[in-house]
Amino acid sequence: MKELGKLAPLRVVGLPTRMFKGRAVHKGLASAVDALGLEIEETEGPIIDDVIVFHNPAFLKYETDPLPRLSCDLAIIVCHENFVTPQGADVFDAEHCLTLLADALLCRQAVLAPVSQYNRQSIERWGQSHNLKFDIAPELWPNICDFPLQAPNAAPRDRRGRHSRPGPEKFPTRDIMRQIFPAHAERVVILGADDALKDQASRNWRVHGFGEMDVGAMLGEIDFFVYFTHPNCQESFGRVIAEAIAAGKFVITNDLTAGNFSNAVTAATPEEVDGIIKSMVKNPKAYGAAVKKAQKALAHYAPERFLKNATRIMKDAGVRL
Amino acid sequence: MILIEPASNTPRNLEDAVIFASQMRAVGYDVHIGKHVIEEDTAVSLKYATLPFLVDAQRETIETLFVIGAHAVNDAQLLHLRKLKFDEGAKVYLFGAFESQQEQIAAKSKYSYVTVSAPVAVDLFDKPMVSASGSGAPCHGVALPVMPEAERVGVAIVAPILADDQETILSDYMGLAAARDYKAILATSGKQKTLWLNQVPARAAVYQYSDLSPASLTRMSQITVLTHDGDDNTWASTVMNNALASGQVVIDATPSQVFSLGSSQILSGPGHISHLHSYLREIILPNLDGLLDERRDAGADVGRTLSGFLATEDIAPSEPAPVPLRERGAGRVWFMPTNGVGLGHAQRCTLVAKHLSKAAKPAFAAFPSCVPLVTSAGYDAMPLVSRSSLHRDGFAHDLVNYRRLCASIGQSDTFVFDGGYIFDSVFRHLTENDLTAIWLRRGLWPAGQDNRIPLDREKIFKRVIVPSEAFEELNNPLSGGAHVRNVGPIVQRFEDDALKAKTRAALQEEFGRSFETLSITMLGGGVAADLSAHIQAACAEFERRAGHLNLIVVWPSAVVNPVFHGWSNSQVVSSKQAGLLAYASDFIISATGYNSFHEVLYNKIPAILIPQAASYMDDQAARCDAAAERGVAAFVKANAPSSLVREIGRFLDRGRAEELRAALTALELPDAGNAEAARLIEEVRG
Repeated sequence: MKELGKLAPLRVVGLPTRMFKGRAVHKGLASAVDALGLEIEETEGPIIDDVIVFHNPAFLKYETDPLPRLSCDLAIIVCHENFVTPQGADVFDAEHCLTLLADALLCRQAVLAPVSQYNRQSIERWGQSHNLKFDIAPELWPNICDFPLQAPNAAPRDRRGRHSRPGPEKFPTRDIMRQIFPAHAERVVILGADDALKDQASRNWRVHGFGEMDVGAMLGEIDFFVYFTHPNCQESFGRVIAEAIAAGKFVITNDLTAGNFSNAVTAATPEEVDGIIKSMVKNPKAYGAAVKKAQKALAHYAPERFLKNATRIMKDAGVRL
Repeated sequence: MILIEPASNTPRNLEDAVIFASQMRAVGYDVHIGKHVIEEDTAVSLKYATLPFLVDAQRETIETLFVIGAHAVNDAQLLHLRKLKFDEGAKVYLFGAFESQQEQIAAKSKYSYVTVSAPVAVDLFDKPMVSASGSGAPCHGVALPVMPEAERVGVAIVAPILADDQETILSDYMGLAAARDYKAILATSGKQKTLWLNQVPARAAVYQYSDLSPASLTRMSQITVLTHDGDDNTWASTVMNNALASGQVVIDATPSQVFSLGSSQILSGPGHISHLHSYLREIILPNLDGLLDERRDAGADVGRTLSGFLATEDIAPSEPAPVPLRERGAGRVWFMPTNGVGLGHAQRCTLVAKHLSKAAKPAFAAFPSCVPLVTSAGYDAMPLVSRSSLHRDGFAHDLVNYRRLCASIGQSDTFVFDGGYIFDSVFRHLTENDLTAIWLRRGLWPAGQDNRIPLDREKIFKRVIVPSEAFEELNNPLSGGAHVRNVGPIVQRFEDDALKAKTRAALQEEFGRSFETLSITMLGGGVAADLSAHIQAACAEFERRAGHLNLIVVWPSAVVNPVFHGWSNSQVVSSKQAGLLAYASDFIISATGYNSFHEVLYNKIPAILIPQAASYMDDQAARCDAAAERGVAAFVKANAPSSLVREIGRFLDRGRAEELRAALTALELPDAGNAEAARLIEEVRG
């Protein structure tokens, strides 16, 4: 919002939905809006403006009633979630959500704006068997990762960890967890575990529930950030990875997630993780070089880069800024 | 392994899962339910119903998972699934009443994460004929043969409602229950069943849903009548579809005629229960063969059958094992005596078993206290678990026994139960596994006892064999009907003077002393009634008499009161041969349980009888009265130990024992029923 406000005057409108019924506005969002001197408008009537940025159609998945009329010149539908799993199954009822949007929109043009390369591929793959109803924007609508950069550890050790929200989709199977966080690792720190994972933890794992530990402190305890999700789930971006890179950690993840970071992080299979860590512990110089390379790649997610992409999307659609 | 999993931990969801499991098993699929679904507060009846399917799923690899009610997925249940091991390529089917595409997608996503598979959602929303409203549980039918030995046409009447104040409806049902040309089998809720038992005087076959699976009811009937038009009952809907799949005559007797309007295979019947009896007698039964032929020719409505459903949805669990043919009578005859207070039930069973053919290979399912008696009589015994205060609840042992009975006794076997109360384990095993069963039931139940509950379970037995009392006035029939057969008293008999002499000689050698007179005291271990004061009084009296030996005979497992020891003329003997010792004695002092009492009469043993009295025991005082009136035994009241001493004096000093022996010799008794009971068992066994 802060960056978009540089392009044009900004309003923030909140739509009440069944998905978030009875829940307060997220604190982070509320403070960001407040910092800009804005208020979240609530309306049941039509929303009319030059450009409407509609954040994440997935939150319409439980809606049954039509949306208020959305009237604008250009609508940018930011697709924060993947449409299909790596196996091709629906992640949410995109058909229903996009239909609600298409029925509500009265505009000259509307585009779907993916947040990452993988997110784009997922939408395209879904579009092969469904009517997308909208074009896909030529540029990504990337996350802004504006974290302070920290130097990598000059003498890395086999200290591994991960951070995520809890939930079965965020974790690989038990066997893979044991493979990537083996008993011989000097330290394993897991932040964001649920009860099932706590039950299955190996002896050398330090397991913390989501929010039970400061993320910076957790990252301070490790040198390798090893991040795999459930095989049926793929992150649309991977913000925790960007956070770990900025904190000077060597990141190992699967090839699809690595692709979101221009391969600046190390793509591997679970079987390869142990060998990579052993080799990096033996070679601190290579470790440091890899982390710095990854940190450079974070420039793709700088605020300026976001503003450039957003401007291009709007100009391509004929919006005069 | 094929696992069936309720999506939530609600009782309804588990009930639905158990119904689906029972349907799958009825057609040969080896399906299971994970033990994690049972919680401490799960209803007792549901624990029993689930038990035959339970496995420790964490020890298995799951090839196919069926989730019931997946629209209401519950995170706690998902957590359980995350601990299980799924085969690579495991098939996962989610049955649910999904109100939207999003609900389906959400369920598929959640289950894909915990099973590492690509689940298939099967939407049962708004399909009232194959899924009860909102349950998300399939209730498709399976084709089942009617029990081959059914003597009367079974008419299953599903979900009748009997209000407290509807006396006219009550009388209508009584007509149904008392019908002779068909057998009405009512299936309803637990509350309704209680109303029935409270109000219907005639013995009626009334089951509550949790008593039996839909398949078990289907096997009992050729005609199924639907009387309640609610669409939220998975059990009743499954029975309806089973009846259709099995080619039964299905009658819609609901006021709304909702079922016949939805299917040409369901006959439109009387809209009120008051007309059902005449409708069955005048319209259906005279034309039954033709109607059954019509149903057979029409074939099953594939959309309502389980096999059709599995095929249509492309659900392919591993091939079902062929349902084994019923080789009725080919197996063993299993006796299950309850342990009661003493060992009378077990002994009675061994006496009958002796007269069975070799082919019957008699075996016993017996409580630990009975096992030595059974094995010493030469029979195999599968031990059961006794109730214990150390168990978590009062039925924990019976759940284990249920598993043991299911594992050991099958359809080819014949099951003989001897006891007053039919345990849930027995009731369910016989019902669910369609066993041929016989109730060996002695009479003389305590006066004033409410017999409705135990007698309600008589319906699961093909035959009731009643070992009669020797004295006619003691025979008070508990129930009637062609299936109830009376036999003479079942009694252990000794008719061998040489054996008597040999036993007395052996006793002299064993105790290293001679005796002129021998008495046996058998007054139990104090479990039911403490007669230790009588024993002590008797021992004191015998101590004054040189040349007399008194044996206090207890069963080897009995706890002996220390005051019984320390006498010179009285010795405690742990023995399984109490009957033989009594036969060898000059007189006995005995309680009047069925076996002891009849041994006194048939082996002509002079006796001083003392009734044991407890609320749950047979009426021993009545036996004492009957014997005393005939002058064939002495009778001492339980509250009068001093009169026992006087009676002993009469026996030893005034020839009372000889008088009684003479009276016993002159007494006319009915023939013993041991062999006849065995013959009646063999007859049922086929």
